[in-house]
Amino acid sequence: MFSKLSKKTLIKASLFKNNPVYVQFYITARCNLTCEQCNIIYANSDVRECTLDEIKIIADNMAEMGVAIVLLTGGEPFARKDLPEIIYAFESRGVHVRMQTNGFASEEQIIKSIEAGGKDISISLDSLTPVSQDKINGGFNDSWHQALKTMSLFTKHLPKNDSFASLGCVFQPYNLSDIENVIKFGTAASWYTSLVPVHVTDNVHPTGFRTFDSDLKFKSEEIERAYELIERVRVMRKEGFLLYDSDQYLDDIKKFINNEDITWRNKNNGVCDSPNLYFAVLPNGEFSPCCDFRVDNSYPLYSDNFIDNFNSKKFKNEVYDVTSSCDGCMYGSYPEITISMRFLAAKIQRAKTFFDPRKQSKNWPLSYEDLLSIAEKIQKNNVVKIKSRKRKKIFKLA
Amino acid sequence: MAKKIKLESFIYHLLLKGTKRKFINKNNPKFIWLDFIDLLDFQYDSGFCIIVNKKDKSVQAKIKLSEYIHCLKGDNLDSTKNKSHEYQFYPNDPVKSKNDIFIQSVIKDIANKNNFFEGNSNV
Repeated sequence: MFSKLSKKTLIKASLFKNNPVYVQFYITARCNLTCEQCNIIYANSDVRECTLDEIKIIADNMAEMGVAIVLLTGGEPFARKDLPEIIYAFESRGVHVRMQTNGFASEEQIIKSIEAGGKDISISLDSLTPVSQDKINGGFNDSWHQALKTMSLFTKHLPKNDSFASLGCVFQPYNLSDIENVIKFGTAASWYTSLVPVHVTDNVHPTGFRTFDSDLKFKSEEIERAYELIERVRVMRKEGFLLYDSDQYLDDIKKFINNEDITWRNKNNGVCDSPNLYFAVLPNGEFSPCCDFRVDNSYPLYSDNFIDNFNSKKFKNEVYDVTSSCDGCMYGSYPEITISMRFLAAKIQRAKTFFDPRKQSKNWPLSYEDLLSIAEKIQKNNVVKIKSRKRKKIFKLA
Repeated sequence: MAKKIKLESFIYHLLLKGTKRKFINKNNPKFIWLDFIDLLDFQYDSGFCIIVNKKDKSVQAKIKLSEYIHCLKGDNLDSTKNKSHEYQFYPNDPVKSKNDIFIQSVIKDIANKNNFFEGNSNV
């Protein structure tokens, strides 16, 4: 699935920890959902979007830097009409594209994106209960069904071999009773699940991705239940369920939701690996250390001197000023890449994910009705019942 | 009701830029600028953002959201009316700059109205 360029970078980064393996490119801030746990559509909508001509130069620069994986994210990336051309711009230069959608991509868009070289997809799914998912997505009816329809389309059009599909599931107080079911559902459909704990902030500490909704914070009485859940999903992964997350990452989720110091940055003096192993790009093409913070100066990735700037001491110091004052995050990919590159056990686990043929075999295609049936069976047979947090009126009606 | 995306974006950038400013209260130096920001509440009313002091319910500002540029598209180059085309390859994003100037002026107005001024300012 990975190009020669991507494989070469992964090996070099693993050895020297100074090759940008992974870039999150926020190609748009436009989105047709307003998910409760996400702030990025608001944070990134103050800038213009890059044009395709600029993105081609960004792809040139990323290929020259040896970027292994670019996540095309948003907003809703499929809101951009030129997404297939964007995918082609990266894939044709050897930069592996991970596509992402909230589930509202049309069949025509999906076909064109796969034809353009996209073979790695992540879809947001936080619950197997439609009304819960719709509520989490900001009160949009049918978003759960739409996500399943989109999953079905990807199983129809992606190649069975040489492709990767995952569900992004936000670990939050309101869906604790749903997470095991999402993992079971994903496994039954040959999709991995990746957990990201909800990130909450307040008016005096605004950051790009973190929600201001204090209601989403874990309460002390919920922590124990969340810990037990983490241990159960860890066991599920050992039993063969397709959970993407490493042991250390799961341990750090526990610490993070309880406001304890996380450990994944410990081998780098308590600082993350931005920009050496990963960074983000704003919709206007400017560099940013991650989804939460920006740097004061503007460094567009389409500029002729971006790579020189990137390698300069001044630039690295400017980023370090930001990263060294951050308390840390648990945004899935950033910690997981540091963990994969710096911890041997996680490296082996990750290699198995992508190169073990048994874990790559898929029961595709699956129709929307197939997926509905799988979801219903899992819901009915769910032996482990966890009491979910009571919440607003619309939720109680479920 | 789904959140108003433009309103939420405006609020986020006002908070982000506001919390980076170093204002001092001329009448009461013990009144910290960040504590004042924490008192602000934001409401939507027909295309305007009404900024209210949660404590005394006073209206601090009424901001016309259409003055804030939001999500300028980059994927419709065929359109002759496309504004993003003219901004192509700019070293600095003019949309970001305009929004920054607009929001900084809102912050300054609210601050000054409540006797907050820049640290070394005699104004």
